[in-house]
Amino acid sequence: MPQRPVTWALVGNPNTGKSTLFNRLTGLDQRTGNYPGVTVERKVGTLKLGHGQTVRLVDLPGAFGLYPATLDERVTADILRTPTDPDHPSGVVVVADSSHLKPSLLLLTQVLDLGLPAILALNMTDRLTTEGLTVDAPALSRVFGVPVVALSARTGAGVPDLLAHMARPRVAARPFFRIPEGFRTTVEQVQAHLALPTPYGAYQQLLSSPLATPELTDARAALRLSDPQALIANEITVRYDRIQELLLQAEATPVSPTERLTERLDRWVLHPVWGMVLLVALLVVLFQAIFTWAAAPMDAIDQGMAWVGDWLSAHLAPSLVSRLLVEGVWAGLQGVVVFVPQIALLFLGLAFLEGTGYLARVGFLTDRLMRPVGLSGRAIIPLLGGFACAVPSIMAVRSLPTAKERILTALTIPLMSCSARIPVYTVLIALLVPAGTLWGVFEVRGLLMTAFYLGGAVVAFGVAYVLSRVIKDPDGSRVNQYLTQLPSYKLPRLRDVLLDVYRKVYAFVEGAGKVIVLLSVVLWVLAAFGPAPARERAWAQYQAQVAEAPDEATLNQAQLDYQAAKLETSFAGVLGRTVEPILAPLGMDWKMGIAVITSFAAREVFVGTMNTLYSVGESADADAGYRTLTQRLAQEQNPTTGGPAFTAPVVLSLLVFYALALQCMSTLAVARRELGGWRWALVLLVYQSLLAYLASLLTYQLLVNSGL
Amino acid sequence: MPHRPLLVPLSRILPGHSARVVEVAVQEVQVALLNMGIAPGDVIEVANLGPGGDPLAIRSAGTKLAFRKVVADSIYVEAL
Repeated sequence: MPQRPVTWALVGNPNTGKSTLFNRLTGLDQRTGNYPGVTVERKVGTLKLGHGQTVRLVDLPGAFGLYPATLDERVTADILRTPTDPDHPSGVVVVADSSHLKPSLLLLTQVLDLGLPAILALNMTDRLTTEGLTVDAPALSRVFGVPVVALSARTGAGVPDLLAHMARPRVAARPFFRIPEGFRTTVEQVQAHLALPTPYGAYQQLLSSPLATPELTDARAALRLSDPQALIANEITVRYDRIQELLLQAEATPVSPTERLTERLDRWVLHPVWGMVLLVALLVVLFQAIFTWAAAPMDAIDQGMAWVGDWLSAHLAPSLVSRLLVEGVWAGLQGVVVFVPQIALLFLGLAFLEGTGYLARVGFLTDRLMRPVGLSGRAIIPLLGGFACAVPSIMAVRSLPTAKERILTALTIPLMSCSARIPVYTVLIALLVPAGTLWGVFEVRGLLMTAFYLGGAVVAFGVAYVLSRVIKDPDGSRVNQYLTQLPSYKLPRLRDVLLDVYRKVYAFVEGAGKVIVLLSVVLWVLAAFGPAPARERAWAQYQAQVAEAPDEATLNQAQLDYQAAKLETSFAGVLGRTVEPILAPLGMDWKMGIAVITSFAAREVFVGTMNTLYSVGESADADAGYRTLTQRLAQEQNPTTGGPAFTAPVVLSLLVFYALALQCMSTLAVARRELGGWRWALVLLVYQSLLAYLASLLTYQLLVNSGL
Repeated sequence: MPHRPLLVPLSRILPGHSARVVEVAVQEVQVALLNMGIAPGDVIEVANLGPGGDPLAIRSAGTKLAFRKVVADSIYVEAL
């Protein structure tokens, strides 16, 4: 019978080099996902021990102690406390920062008291300076009664020792912390009730678990547990006293490095003025890079996949299945893959900044700015990333410390004008104002574009302000709004940075991809099929036109007209007619309704749909395409008034709508993935739709009624 | 006469100066600091102030932490 692989867990304080060690041990042999229902990344890999035994290695989220204050810590604590959890390990490697041992040793004693076999890994050289690091591993091993390995996750030194010890795990001989006398009977009852291996596990569940079975509630009532925080503080103090004693026995007083380099850099990096200048400069470079460097690979992917699509439709036997495959599934896939360059670039930048220790400082600098809208400093990066693309930016909210901040930030990011709005803005703004300059300096169209960018950002902050008052923090934590470690500066390893990027790109393609492909198929069906009678009429009309066509130009026009007629008589067209009464107060007719509906796939589809609806031939030159579409739209007449259909109020109404509405399946899919289910994704969809509708309504009605 | 240290909130300590932690008035803050390795009796230095003096960064032993002024208000220290 094949043996089930043994599970080991890596546990450690944040910034101890735990992830570097995980990458070192597992290499590319790792998978990531989310823990069910939460936005915490779950990393699992496999490694081989010396004698061929395969071990499953789980990299648990960074934690200070096992009484959780953050979502990350809750995941780690739950897995270590719950023997029935699929990730519950049979051995734990506690990764310690050897320049700051105390909190790591606290974690070690808690892990050992849970009855888990553990190894202490002293990570030595993950920083730029190595001054004054003197930790005596054998002495520590003697007093704590567990294997202690000095290693460098960075160079790999000492890793074979760790693997050798993992083959022979050891548990603690006796507990480091004795449960208070008055609690013992109740704790034993809880231990039996929850089938836990140690009384300490039951004690932790009593003090800090969200579990509330009748037995636990009764036990808490019996103990009059009104103030678990005091008991937790007491336990930690007792543990530190014991740790101090043991360190004295080991004659190992850890010397802390002076961190001169970090302090010297921080004098500039955290400076109220120069720190801000540096931050703005770095952000400009980062987002410029995303805009410009991603453009070429995105075009290449777009054209390459479109070419393959064309090739497929030319070579597959024409049938419904092949069309579904090419126009639905393949086009949907294209919509996923096209985002990969932007995602990879944003995460490359972020992973690098995170690895150096700079990202934690960004929060320090911007905390004051973000506070009035209920966010803390670190939210600024994902929010600004929204200007490039909401998809990787929503994925970046993972780095935020509290669940409330993650939700708030993810819900406001799609209001930042992303790069996909550029084609829409370009066409509509060109329709609104002639090219020209204001006071001879400012390009008028550019100014309007800037206004929409700023407007989106202002609305985003307003929405954050309102939502921060409405949403309750699922963590329930108050203190940790902003209480964070500023890690020492170090040079990240390229390998770790690239692995991080790889994991995130993979997670996006796998997670969001399924939803996007599915929704693309639905939209394709809506646009490709329609009620039979209307479609037959359109076909007959086309046939008649073709039969009478005197020359090639008329023939081409007939073909374009037929394409438009097909869309008009499709289910999407029927939907457009159906939603017309709803959109009429915004100044939009049913054709614009179709565009609004198909734009739900992705807002850049607007241009393509308008092209089809208004029968503009496809142009190889994109700019020329926008120009001809703009000219065509300007000529379009309103059937009731006889005047132009695209009046200033109509165009502005459309612009406002496209600035505020959630018209991107990828965003919706990634929000569902990151916020742990459809609940918040639907909140996002509903509030943005309402906001866009009401703002457009207000814009149109105000403009029309003021006589424009 | 026994030595009675003069207690002030950490938010009153100027950057570049050190102080010894005596008591943390808010329990959640106390537990969070304990978890991060800062206990009563430890010496901490106010290292940097953010724009407008809030948040602030402190250094203690091998670690550096940042928190808001409200948190610093609840940490009572003895100036050194």
